[in-house]
Amino acid sequence: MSVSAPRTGGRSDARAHVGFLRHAGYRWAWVALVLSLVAVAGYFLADVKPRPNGGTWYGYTLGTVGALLILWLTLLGVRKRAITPGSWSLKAWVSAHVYLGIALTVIATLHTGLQFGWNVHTLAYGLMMLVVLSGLYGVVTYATLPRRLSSNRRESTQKQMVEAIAALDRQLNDAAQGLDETRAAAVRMSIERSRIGGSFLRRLSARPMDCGTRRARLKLRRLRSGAGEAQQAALDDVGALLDRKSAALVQLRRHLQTRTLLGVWLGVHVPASIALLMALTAHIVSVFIYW
Amino acid sequence: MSFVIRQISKRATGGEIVRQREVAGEVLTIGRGADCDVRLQDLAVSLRHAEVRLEAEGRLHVRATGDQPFGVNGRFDKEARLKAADGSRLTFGDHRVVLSLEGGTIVLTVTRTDPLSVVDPGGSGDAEALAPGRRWLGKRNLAWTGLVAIGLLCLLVPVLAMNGGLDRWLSPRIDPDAQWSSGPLSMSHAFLEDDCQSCHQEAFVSVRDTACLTCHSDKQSAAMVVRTNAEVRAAGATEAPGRVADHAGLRRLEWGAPPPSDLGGRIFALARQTFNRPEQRCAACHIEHVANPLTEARAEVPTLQTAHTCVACHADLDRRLTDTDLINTPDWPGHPELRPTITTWPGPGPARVQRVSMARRPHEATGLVFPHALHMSRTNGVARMAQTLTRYGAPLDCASCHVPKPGDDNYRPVEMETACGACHSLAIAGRSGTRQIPHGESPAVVAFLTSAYSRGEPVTGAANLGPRRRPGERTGAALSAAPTVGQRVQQTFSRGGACFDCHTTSGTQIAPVHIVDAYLTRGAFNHRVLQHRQDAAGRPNCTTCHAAETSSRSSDLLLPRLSVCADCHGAETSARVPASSVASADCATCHSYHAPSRPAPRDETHRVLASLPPRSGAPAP
Repeated sequence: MSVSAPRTGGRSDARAHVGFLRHAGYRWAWVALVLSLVAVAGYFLADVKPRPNGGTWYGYTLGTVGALLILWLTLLGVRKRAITPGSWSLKAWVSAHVYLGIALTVIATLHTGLQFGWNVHTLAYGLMMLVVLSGLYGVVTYATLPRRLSSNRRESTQKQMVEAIAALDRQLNDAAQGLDETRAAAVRMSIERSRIGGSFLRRLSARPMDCGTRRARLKLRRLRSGAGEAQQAALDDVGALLDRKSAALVQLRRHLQTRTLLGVWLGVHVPASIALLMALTAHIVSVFIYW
Repeated sequence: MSFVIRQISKRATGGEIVRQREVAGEVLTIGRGADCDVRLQDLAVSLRHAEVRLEAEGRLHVRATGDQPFGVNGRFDKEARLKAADGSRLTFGDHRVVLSLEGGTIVLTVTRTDPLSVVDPGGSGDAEALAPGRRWLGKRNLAWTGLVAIGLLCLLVPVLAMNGGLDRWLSPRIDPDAQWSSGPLSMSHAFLEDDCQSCHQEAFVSVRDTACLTCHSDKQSAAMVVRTNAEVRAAGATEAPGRVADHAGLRRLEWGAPPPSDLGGRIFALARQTFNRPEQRCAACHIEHVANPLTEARAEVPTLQTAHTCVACHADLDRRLTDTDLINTPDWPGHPELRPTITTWPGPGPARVQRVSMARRPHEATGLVFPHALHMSRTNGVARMAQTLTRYGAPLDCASCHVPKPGDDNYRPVEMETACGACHSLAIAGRSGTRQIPHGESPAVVAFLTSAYSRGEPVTGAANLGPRRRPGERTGAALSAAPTVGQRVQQTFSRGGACFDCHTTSGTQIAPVHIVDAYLTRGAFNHRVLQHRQDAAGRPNCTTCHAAETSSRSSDLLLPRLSVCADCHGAETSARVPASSVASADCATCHSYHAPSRPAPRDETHRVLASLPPRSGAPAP
């Protein structure tokens, strides 16, 4: 795969898609690498007394750089909502966000001088690491899950998947009209209790044990014997429909599962970022109060 | 009779389709089965669910056919008798059957109440329908919770507690601002761990010297010292705070310190000024909260981080402090010559002392007569006399008179009675035993002697008959006439008398004596250091520095010049100086920052004797 697309005068990368990781030939990865190396070299070259930590001149320098980085990284939340005129690229911004975020772990760790304790300063550091690690998880999911999403989708949209299940429900309803009460109840279970989506944990499972369709198929398999001839024909129809519905449900649920996994890291990343802003404020203000 | 059945179904587009038909007969069947009069395509409904029988005019009897009940106006029942005109509602599964009477005909209106599938084909295309936002654990809620919780617990509460705003609500054992501490205090300050404000007295102002001086000031009165010690002990301190003087006044320190020379220094200076962290503070050098809170033990004392070397300020101090009496010291070879404080006029009148450079070969005027060479000779009469005395048993040496002061770096002041008295006896034989002439003020001596001589003392011997006769001296004519008491007192103060040996006299007046307590007042020499006491062979080496054996005049100043110090300190190894004698030559060997006249505290490895031992062989005084 080519690293960068030829520029054609229109939007950059218009011809071949280049993800935010490879944006502009890993420009921001290089920037982050150089920044980290400079910080590490400075850490070992700076002769700070009495020991390296946030209270030395080098510590204050790294702390200032780190705090400004954190502020800028958080601004991605503002930037992505702002439809700005001009030629800034949101992709470039995301690329820088990812790589500078990784560099931040180096800068902040050097800033601490590995001096940790049960205090507000380590709280800020811990939150920052949580934010970066959840972000790294996000990067990994964005790199792998979309492929899984589209291979599962097979040209259909979520709306089409839902409609297919609704159509199967109508057919099931029609096909089951001739069934007696118990067998009809089994079909009703499939129609009424095949839950899709819902809470976070439910969305993570593609084949839940309490799925109505799954239970209906098991039940009808047991009730197969002893059915009259007319019922037998209806049962065959219902059985085939339930098989199709089961497959459709797995596809839709896997779709939702993947989409949930794509979004779950943000549930940590965003709240932790906001909490980090306050912890950072407390960290800085407390240092200056007890100056 | 007949029933009218009106079946209403909804279109996908929203409209309604109404189908109406008439069924003749007294009984109407309701169920899913194809043979029922009212067919409900609802899997919750039995194949044959219920039948409706017309009883009297407008009255109906509804009865379940099987075990499954049906709903009647919200209740479930297996049988019901109803009036058609009441508009009763029957429910079967998801279907509703409303009874009514229209122009004498009983009408059953059938509608489906719920959509068939749990999935709503209309709205499921959008993710939110299937993945509802988490109400409590949503991003926004979590973010606000974290923001507010941290803001309250880590910022607002400590700030309020710091200002005493929470004293009424918080137990004194809870310290909300302890979470702001980046590391433990040293052991000496550990008792202040819970009391941040004892040092951080003002918010946004760096720790000032006033906080430190509360305990450490050397300007406290004795009563204050006792009170402060009691207070810190009550607060949990394990030792009393040390009292320290500052190197110089704050303004002098600020003026005396060199301005930053390079760009980095200028940036630091600017940063210190901008963030209000002056360099000339106790806390700029004595740093707390340094140890790693999880892995390291407390330091014993605050970590010392010196801001300047001594030479940085003292190399060209007079350029910045033009009124200083200190001589510039750019380095060890450039160290000014020793300038001991010596007596230049012992009296009468006020004694004069002044610091004089050894380079000027100064002489001292103590008012005392003591030629060292005479006393230290190994062959003369003094030596012979010392040999005969059991106290010495040998010619005199330094240790005969100079006795170490226990627990100190130096020697006791030489006292006449103990050091000189064995030879220069002040005893006279009284009628009731030997008596000592009081050594001290002239009037007391005169009074004592007048009284003694009046009573005919001394009864034997002593120098009562005029000047003492020295060996080989002929007795003078003074013996021929018996002197008066006054004359005899006068004679004691005159040439040959007991006083005249060591003092300059005028009549019965002894000229004032003034000897300084310490010669080196701006630096220290430690006699306890082993190499300062003995040579490589273990022999006393006093005379290496003090030329006492050749000093024949009392006015000789028996102090070495700095070059003698430099023989060992800062010296290269050479034939003259054995390698074992090469010693350091840093400022802290003789000076310290807070007490320039004392050396800086040394570590354990520095070989210093616990106490100066008395010379072996010399009997204790």
